[in-house]
Amino acid sequence: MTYGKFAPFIHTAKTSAFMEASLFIALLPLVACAVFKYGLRALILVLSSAVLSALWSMLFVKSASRKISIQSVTGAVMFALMLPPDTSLVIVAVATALMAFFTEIVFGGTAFMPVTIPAAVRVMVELMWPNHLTGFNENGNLFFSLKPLVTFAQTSSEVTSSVADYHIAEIIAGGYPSFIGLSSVLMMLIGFVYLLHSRTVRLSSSLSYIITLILLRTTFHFKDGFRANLVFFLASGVFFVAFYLLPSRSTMPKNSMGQIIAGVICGILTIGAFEITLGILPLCVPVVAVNLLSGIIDYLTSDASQRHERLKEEAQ
Amino acid sequence: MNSSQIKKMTIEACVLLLISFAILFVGNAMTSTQSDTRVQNGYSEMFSDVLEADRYREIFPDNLSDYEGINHVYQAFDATGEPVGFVLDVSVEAAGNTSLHLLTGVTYDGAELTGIKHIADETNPAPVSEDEIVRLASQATGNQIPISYAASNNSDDDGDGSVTMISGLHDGIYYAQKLNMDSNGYIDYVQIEVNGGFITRVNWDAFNIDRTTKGRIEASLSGAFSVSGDNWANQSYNLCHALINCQDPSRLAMKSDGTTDIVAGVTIEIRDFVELAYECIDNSICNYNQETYIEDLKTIIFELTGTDPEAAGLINDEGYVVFSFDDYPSVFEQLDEEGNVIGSLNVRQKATEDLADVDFATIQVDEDQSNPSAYSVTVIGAEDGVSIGGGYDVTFENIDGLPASEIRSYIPGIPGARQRTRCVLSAINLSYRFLKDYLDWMA
Repeated sequence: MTYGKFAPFIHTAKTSAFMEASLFIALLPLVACAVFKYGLRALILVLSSAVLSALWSMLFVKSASRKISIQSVTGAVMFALMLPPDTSLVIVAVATALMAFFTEIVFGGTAFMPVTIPAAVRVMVELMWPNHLTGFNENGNLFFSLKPLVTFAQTSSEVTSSVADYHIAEIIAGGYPSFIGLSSVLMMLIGFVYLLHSRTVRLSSSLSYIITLILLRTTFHFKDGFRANLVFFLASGVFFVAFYLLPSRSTMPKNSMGQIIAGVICGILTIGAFEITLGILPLCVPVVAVNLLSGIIDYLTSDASQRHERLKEEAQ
Repeated sequence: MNSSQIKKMTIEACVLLLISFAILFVGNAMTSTQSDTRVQNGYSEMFSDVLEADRYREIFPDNLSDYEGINHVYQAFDATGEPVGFVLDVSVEAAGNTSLHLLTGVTYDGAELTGIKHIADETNPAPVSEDEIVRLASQATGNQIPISYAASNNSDDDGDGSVTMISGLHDGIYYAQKLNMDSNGYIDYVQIEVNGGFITRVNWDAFNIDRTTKGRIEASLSGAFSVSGDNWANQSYNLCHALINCQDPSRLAMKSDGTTDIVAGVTIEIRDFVELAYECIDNSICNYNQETYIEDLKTIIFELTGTDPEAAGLINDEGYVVFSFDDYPSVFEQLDEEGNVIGSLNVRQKATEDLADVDFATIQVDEDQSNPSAYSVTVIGAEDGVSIGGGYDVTFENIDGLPASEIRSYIPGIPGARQRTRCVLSAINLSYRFLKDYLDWMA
C-alpha cells in the first residue's frame, strides 16, 4: 500500500496501520450495539461489507503485493454502520465494489482520497436505491431474521412509534430505530473516548462541528423545546459524523484552525440540509462537501512558512 | 505494528467490547419497561378497532412464509394472560396490479371475525374505498370465517341438489361486451337472462371487427375458427350451461391461467367469459339492462368520435355495437382525485361517471336489514330447471382456495362492486387459511 506523502500522521509517532486499527477498535462498540439491537443480520451486514471490501480492494489494487488493507476494512465497516437494518446484500456488494474502485483505481490509494469514501459511497447508494434503504423494522427484530438480506425489497415498520413516544433514556440507550451503527450515542462516545485515548484523532473539527450544530439548531428550533432538540442530537446520527467521519486524517485540513473552520462549515451545511430532508443525506453530503473544500481551507489557514515547508518536502 | 502493540490492541478491543455489551444490557434492562409500554400503546392504537385486548405480541410462526400475503401476525391476550385472538396484517393482490392492505382480527377459538381495518400504505392501492371497507366490515364482523358473498354450499347436504340464487338480481336481459378486440379481431360479449332472480339463459359469443367475418360460434362450426379440444361453439355452450347450473361465475373455478378444470369439455381460456358474466350480474343488480347498455355505449362512442355509430355503420345485424376502443386507451380509465389511474371502468360506470354514487345511491339491497351481517341465503331445493350436477365435482376448491363446503358465513357485499367485495373477502379468507394451518383447526 502506498501512503500519501503529506498525510498528517507522518508527523506523529503512530503508524498509519496503528491508527487504522485504533479506528477499527473504536467502531467495535457500534458494531456491538448493531448486533445487540438488530441481531444476526446486522452482524452479517458488517462482516460481508468488510470481507467484500477487502476482496474488491485486492482485485483492484495496482500494487503487485495483493495484501488485505485494514483501511478498506475499516471504511467498509463504517459504511455498513450507516445502513438500515433491512438492507439487501446486493447493495452491500455494489457499494463495496464502488468503494474499492474509487479508492484504488480512480484515486490510487486510501491516502490520496479527497473525500471520506464511506460517506461518499453511502450517498451514492442512497441515490441509487432510495426505496430500498428504508427498512427500519422496529418490532419485527428477530435476532435470527435474515430474510431482509436477500429480499432486496423495501420493508418498513407496520407499527412505528413516533420519536415523541420514546423515553429519552431509550434513545440514549439506542432504542430508537436508526441506521445500525448510529442508534446509540453512548456507544459512539465510548468509541470516541478510545480514539482520543489512543491519540489517533484531534478534537478540533469534532468540537467545532458539535458547537456549531448546538448553536444553530437551538437558535432555529428554539420554539420546539428542549426535548425535541435533545432528541435531534441523540437520534439523528450527528455524533457519528462528529466522532468518526470528520476527524478523518487524509480528507480534512491539516492544521487546527483549518479543522475548526471545516467543522463549522460542516455544521452549517448539516443544519441546512436537515431543514430540507432527513435521513443519511444531511449527515454525509456536508462531510463530502467539506472534504472537497479542505484543500482550500488548508491553504487559507496555513501561513507561508508552512506552505514553503511543504513545497520543500515535495521537492525532496 | 509490532507484536506487543497487536497484543495490547487486542486486549483493548476485548475490553471495549465487554464494556459495550455491559452498557447495552444494563441500558436495555433499565429501559425495557418504557419500551414495552410504548410498544403496547402503539399496538393498542393500531389494533383496538380490530380486536380489543390488553396485550399484543408479534409472533413468527413457522408456516408464515407459506402464506405470501400474510405480512405480520400478532397474538392478543386478555388481562389474565389468556390468548383471545389474532390480528393479522394481510396484503392481497387485486386487479390491475393493485393491492389491498388490511388488518383482520380473529378470535382464538371461535374463528370469529372481530374486525377489519384498512392500512392505506399501498403503492398501487386497489380501487376499494374506505366507505366500502367499512360497509363490508360491518357485514362481516361477528361472523365465522371463511366468508363468501354469494356462493353457497352446493355440496348438497340434504342430498336434494339444493342451489342458491344470487341476492339482488333483477329480472331481464343483461349484456356486456369487451371494449377491445382480441388478436383475431373478435369482440367477446356475454348475455344473460334473469327470471325470478335466477340466471336462466347465458350466451357467450363474439363478433368480429371486420363485418365480413362470421361470428365466432358460426366460424367455429364452419371450421374457420378452431381451438384445441372440442370446437369453440360447444365449449361456449358447455360453459354457459355450467353457469346456469351454478349461478355464480366464481364457482366456475377459473385458475390463474384463465382455464378451468371442473367444466367437462371446456379447455379454452374462460377469463373473458367470467369477467363479462360478472359485469352482466352487476348490471342486473343495478337493473341496467341490455338496451340501456347499448344505448350508453353508442353515446360514449358518439362523444368520443363525434360520429353517430348507426350512421357510421357500427351496428351489426343483431344490434350490437361493433367498435374497439384500442385507439382510445384512456377512455375507461378510473382516476383518483389527483388524476392517477387506479382502475378501469365498465360501460355502466363510465355512463354514470360516478361509480361511488351508483353503488350507494341507487342500490338499496339489504340496507334495511336489522342485522346486516346475517346474509339471508335463499336456498331452493331441487328447483325445476335449476339443478346442479352435470360435470361438477362438488369438492373443488373455488373460493380463495377453500372448498365451498368450508364457507361458514355469507354477506351481501357491496352491490355492483363484486370484484372489490371479493378483494376484501380474499384478505379475510387468507387469514382463515393461515390460522387453520397454524392452529390445526381441522384436526
